[in-house]
Amino acid sequence: MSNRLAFIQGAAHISIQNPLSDEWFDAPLRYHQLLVPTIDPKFSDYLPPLVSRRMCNLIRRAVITSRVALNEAHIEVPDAIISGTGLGCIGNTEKFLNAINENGEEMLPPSYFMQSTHNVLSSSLAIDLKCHCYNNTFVHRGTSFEQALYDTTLILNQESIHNVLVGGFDEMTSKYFELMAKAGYWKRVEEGFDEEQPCFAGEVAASFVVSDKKTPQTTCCIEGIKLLYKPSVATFNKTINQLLAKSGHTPADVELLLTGINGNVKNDTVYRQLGLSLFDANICNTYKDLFGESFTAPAMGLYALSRCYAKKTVPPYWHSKNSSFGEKGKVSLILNHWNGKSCSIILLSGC
Amino acid sequence: MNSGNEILVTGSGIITALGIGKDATWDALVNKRSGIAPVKYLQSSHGEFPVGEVKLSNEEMRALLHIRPLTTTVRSSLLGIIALEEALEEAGIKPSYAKERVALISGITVGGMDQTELVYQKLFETETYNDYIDLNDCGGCTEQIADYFNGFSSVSTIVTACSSAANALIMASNMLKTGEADIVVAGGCECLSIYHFNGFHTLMILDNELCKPFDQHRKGINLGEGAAYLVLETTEHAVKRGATSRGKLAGACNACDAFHLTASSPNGIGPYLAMKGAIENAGLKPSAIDYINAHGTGTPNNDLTEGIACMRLFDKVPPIASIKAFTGHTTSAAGAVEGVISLLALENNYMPVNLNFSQQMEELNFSPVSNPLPKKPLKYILSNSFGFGGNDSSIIFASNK
Amino acid sequence: MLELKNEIIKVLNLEGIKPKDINDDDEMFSKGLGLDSIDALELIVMLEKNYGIKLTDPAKGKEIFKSIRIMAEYVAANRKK
Repeated sequence: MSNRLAFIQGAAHISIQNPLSDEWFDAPLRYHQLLVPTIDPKFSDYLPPLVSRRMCNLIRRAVITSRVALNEAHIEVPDAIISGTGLGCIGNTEKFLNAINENGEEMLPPSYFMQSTHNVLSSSLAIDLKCHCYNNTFVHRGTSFEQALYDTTLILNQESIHNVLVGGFDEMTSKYFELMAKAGYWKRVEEGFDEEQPCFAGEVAASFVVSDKKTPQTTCCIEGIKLLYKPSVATFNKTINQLLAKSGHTPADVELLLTGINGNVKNDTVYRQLGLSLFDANICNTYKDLFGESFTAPAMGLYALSRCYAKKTVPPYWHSKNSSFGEKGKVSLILNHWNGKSCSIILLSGC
Repeated sequence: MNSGNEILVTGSGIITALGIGKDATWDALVNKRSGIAPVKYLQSSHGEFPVGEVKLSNEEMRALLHIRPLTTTVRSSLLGIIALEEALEEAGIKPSYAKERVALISGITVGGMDQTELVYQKLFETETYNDYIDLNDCGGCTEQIADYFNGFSSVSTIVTACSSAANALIMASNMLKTGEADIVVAGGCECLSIYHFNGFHTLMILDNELCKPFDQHRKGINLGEGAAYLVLETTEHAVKRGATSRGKLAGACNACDAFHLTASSPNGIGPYLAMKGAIENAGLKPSAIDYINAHGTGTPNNDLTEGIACMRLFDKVPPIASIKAFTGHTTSAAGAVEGVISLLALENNYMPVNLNFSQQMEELNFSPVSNPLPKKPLKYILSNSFGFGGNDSSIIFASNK
Repeated sequence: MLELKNEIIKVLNLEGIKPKDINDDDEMFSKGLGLDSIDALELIVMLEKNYGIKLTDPAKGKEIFKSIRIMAEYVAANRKK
């Protein structure tokens, strides 16, 4: 990331909480079901039918959240567009695959194929915004969004790049939900929602405008971000300390921790080993109980925390060290892992 | 960039329809021996379309890699491991070093679909195929590659269709320039699958004969498969490590056509900006480019757009060739496959030719290369990779001399 | 032609468009409905699925899809279903 800081200027979400709003802050919707679908805005309020006719819902959400985030940031056209997605438009992938199985490789619908290539999200945004600049897509399981964010911080070092539109987008179909249940990520449908292990699947669309300088629209600062692969506990903790030191902080300055604890024992055990030993348990908070689990859920974690910085306070169900949140000299961390393999650490501060 | 901080390629590996490794690849190129042939391994009913298959079954690749026969693997990962092994060996990187100090960035789009599509129904009906679930998505495949080598310091996956590997190289370059990493291995892998074979077929852009890049009568693509990786590090680090430079990554740029999800724009703005940006990033003028490794897929649309963009950028278009009629279109791996080939071209001072060309396109003022011998020593090669969604990347490779 | 218009609206997901909004002789691509190359491919698939007409050259599609009337005439002359 070099020594350049990155600033969040605008953000928007469409998720399992009320879309394009921060009602989740004071009055979050609480779910007791295994698969929770997105609450969509009325798409036709934002996209004329002939424009959105070929877009699946995930693309529509990406386009709308991007426009709202850019508007909030007072930016018309970004200098780069980067997306993270774990599965892309999986609904279209399934439709094309089913068509092959049913029609035997004949008379197949091209639109589904076209939209199943994961970079259809970044490309659709570029077409919508008429943006000819740097365009990239990361598809790496539970750190897909953080990889997109990391790339954002890399390219902000370039002279011509000042504002990056970066987002995390994922949808979940009932078929893929079933497969991921079999792979152990959450309970199977027949097992029903388990209050003791309340991990559930959600969907994500979160867009951010990240810039190389502070403006009146800035909500928070990304002080650092690191990606790791199968780190030992020692390496993970060392990396946290290095990130803190690089930005002139110590563990004592961390006032809030956000982790991907989601109610799945196998997942949660890893968090208790990684990083949490450095901090008080009472400043550890979760977001997947609000927004569900998905490959790009961390985008919602970042969204939520950026809103806390904007409001200078945390929701009543979270705890931070200090009563006033985001004061100078204080930082927060978002820690994430997927299967204990791909890991990320994001360091944030207020502005 | 001052010469103390250039980006060097200290190792590379490749596998395609031309064979395993750089020697086999180069031998095929200089002997003008195409790897395109009728479908053999892919279980598709569209046998009328020739392809650039790697001439090994999954079982044969597992045996080569000493992976136990019935281990759950996906074909793209096997291709990736073979290519990565050659790259790491050449660069003198041992697994323990890689785990601590080397980042991996891999481009792929098909993921594990080659297996998922074969067992899809069974995935729901039984428990026996559950291992395939974590290998279906793109990141799962990259992790399978990474785990064969006992891991890397970080592992990332880029998915931008046919420019994926090129974008992986660009990100690697950015990590090195910002001091985020000392060594990054970047490239891509992609195997054939019924899924995307049919996808391209439904877009009506496949040729049922050997493809004819930049030819007036071109009809479309021959799909291919393969993998390639390049080990990149700064001069300073390579010297400290005692590593040998095989060539340089002198400049790069990614731009977006922002026109249509599968077709490129009539004025080729994306390709033009990518090529222009790469040349400027390298601190060069267009006239410095000695040879263009074109994307040149052989579709009516791409070759026209790429050709027009070249004419717009260059006063005189330098020698240009597509090698797609050798390897087929290796999609997500193309940027790295053709990067390795570009470096071989620089090392051997030889320009791989554009096979199967007979008539110049009426809209263009140039024909692709048929004489491989350059008029002066090759110093800079521009390599293009243009993906679906108008994702356009250009990279400039430079010789050591 | 009404049948054809309904099929086109369905296959191309032309939400909010009714058959009466599509004039028989209007250009469907570039102007009018503003359809693009992917729509052309979807229509080629539809021709085979619904009418048993198989097109292998996308350029031929461009001629046939010039307008509803031209398309309807082609279908009437060549349909196998």
